[in-house]
Amino acid sequence: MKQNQTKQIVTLGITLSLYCIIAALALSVTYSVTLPQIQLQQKKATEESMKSIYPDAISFTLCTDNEQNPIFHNQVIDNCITLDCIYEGRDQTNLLLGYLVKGSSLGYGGPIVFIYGLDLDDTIHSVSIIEHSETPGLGANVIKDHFLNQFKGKLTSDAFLVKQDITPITASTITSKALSEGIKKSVTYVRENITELTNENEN
Amino acid sequence: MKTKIKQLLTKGLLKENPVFVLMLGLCSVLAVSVSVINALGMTLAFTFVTVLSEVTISVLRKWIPKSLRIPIFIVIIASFVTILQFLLQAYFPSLNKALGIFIPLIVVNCIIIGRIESFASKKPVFDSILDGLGISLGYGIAILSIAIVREILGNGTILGYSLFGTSFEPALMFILPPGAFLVIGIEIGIINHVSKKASRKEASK
Amino acid sequence: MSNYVITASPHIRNKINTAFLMNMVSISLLPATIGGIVIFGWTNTLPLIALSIISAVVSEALFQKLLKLPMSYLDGSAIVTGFLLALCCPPGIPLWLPVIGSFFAIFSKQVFGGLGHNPFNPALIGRAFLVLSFPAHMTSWLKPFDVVTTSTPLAVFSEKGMSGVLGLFQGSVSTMHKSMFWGIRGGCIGEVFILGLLLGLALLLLTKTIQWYVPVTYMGTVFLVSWMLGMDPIFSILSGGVMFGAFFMATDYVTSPMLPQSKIIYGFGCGFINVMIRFFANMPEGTTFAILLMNVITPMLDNRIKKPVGFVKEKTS
Repeated sequence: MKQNQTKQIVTLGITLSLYCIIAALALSVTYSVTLPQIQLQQKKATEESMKSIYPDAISFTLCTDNEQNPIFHNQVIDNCITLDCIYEGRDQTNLLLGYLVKGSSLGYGGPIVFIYGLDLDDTIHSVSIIEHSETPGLGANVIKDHFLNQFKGKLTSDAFLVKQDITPITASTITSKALSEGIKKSVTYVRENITELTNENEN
Repeated sequence: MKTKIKQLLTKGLLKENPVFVLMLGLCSVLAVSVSVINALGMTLAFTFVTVLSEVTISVLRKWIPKSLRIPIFIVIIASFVTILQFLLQAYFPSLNKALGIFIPLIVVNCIIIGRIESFASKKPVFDSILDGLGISLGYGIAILSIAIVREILGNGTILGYSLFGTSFEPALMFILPPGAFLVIGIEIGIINHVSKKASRKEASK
Repeated sequence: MSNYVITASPHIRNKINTAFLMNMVSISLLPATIGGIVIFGWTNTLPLIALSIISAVVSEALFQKLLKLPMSYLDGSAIVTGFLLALCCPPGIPLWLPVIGSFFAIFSKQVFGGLGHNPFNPALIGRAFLVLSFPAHMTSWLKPFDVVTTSTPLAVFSEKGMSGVLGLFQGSVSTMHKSMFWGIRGGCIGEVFILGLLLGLALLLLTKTIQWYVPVTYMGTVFLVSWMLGMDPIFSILSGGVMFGAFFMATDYVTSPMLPQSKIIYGFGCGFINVMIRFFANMPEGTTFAILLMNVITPMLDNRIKKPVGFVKEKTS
């Protein structure tokens, strides 16, 4: 009786493990086949948004420190504002056009991931939203041009205050505030810490 | 044979519609029916997982011990869902982004496990394919009929094309969660009304 | 009231009775309405109120015809729904808004089986629908005696705090209380003129149309809870639509409880949720949703529930 039970448990265990092994095999095969494509897609998404900011640029390189680590990676500036990384945008003649700053700011529905161009003369080139989960019809209008175009050509020393120099999205003050504060605070941080880098490039 | 095929394919439409009649899998229906394109994507994803899981389990039904059937069902469904997610991430990133969390949640969609438990684990492969297709058709019709109403009223568009011009102001509520409940409630009400009338007519005959 | 049988909703009422009560409500709304019309100008308010009422009555007639119900669209309940909805809209909004809002309000009533069966206050459902669907219109307020837009004191409070509010009233607390009492502030048509609202309440109480429990506990809770949270309690009860909601919306017969003790719990719940929404949610004002939420548990508050809501006897025919 007891032996029978043990035998049954073992059989069941082996059966279940077999199913799991086969499932795991199928998954790992699919994963290895799709992985390069997935990475390509993710890179393409970021690159496309960078290209939309500096259409003339042909190369985007990640800014790294001496030990080849990306600078400002996951740098928390504020409770809800985080820097992700910075790219240099260069054109055919290898001339530095500006920096691309990627970061995120907490909106109404979750983090708003944005990227913007920072020209060498301390103006914002243009802003583009990579990812957001704001309310459709309200905060989701954050991707609309008539809102984002306000940031074009703004000086880094400007106030970036909603209802003063930024007209908010109708009935979505929180989203508008999140983005403009995210840009202001990240750009201030970058300006304070990037001077050495600019010199390095000029030398 | 022909009537059987027809019966298996069409029973999901109204008589055993998984959403409107059996009221299963409502979570994904309510959340994804924001736009027609999302609803189509979700229907395809759902069909992929349902049909493949039903086929696999129907093939293996003699080698699945009774006491282990639920874990094995879950392992098989979860594998197909994960495979689907890899494929979406690799080849349809925008659809993957739009459907988001609802792809992994297909695993716990009670329609699929219900069909497997009550149908695929007992019936031959061909019947299971038809059953999977029929039930997915019913799911698709339900989610699409909700999505069409919500996208037209809540966004003024259909498949992204503007219907009424710029002066039309859509009623945002329809693309917010309350709109989903409102539309599904009204549609279930209409379907109950119609089917009750039909059955009354049949009875009087 | 003592010789009436007390039951929880849903219930069916005598038609003559309904008409009398509904007319009383409409009459008591008049002082606040006149105040709103004077403050915001008649062009911004009168067409809105008229269209809202007409739309409500027409929708009621339409539904009763379609559903083959007895035609009672002139019994006053549709008029009150349309009237209340118009009064909790901002002045000067496009006129199609109250029309579809009223239609939706009546729809929400008829879909549950008509007057007496509706779990939610129809006018508030209409307003919730408008706020959720057209937030841009429903949050643009007119400045009193002017045509420019402004913010409500509560919106200013949730953004800049009390100092911002005082900035609207030359920095003086007594000016603020006085202006807010006379309705010199941005807000909905019916909610701004506090004196008119108090007159309406007196009328309702004197004619025994409503009992004191709900308005008093509702306002008392709002006063106390906002005082405990550090807000000027007088500002709290004068601002937003709390008074309007407590006097005219939360006292609705169909959707509020019947027994005195459950009325007190109901009033407390409304006030508490209202202040919680004001302080901790992403909305400056919460009267609409506070009352709607309490509507949900109304049947449970009356402990003499005879049958659960939604239970329908199968017809044998």
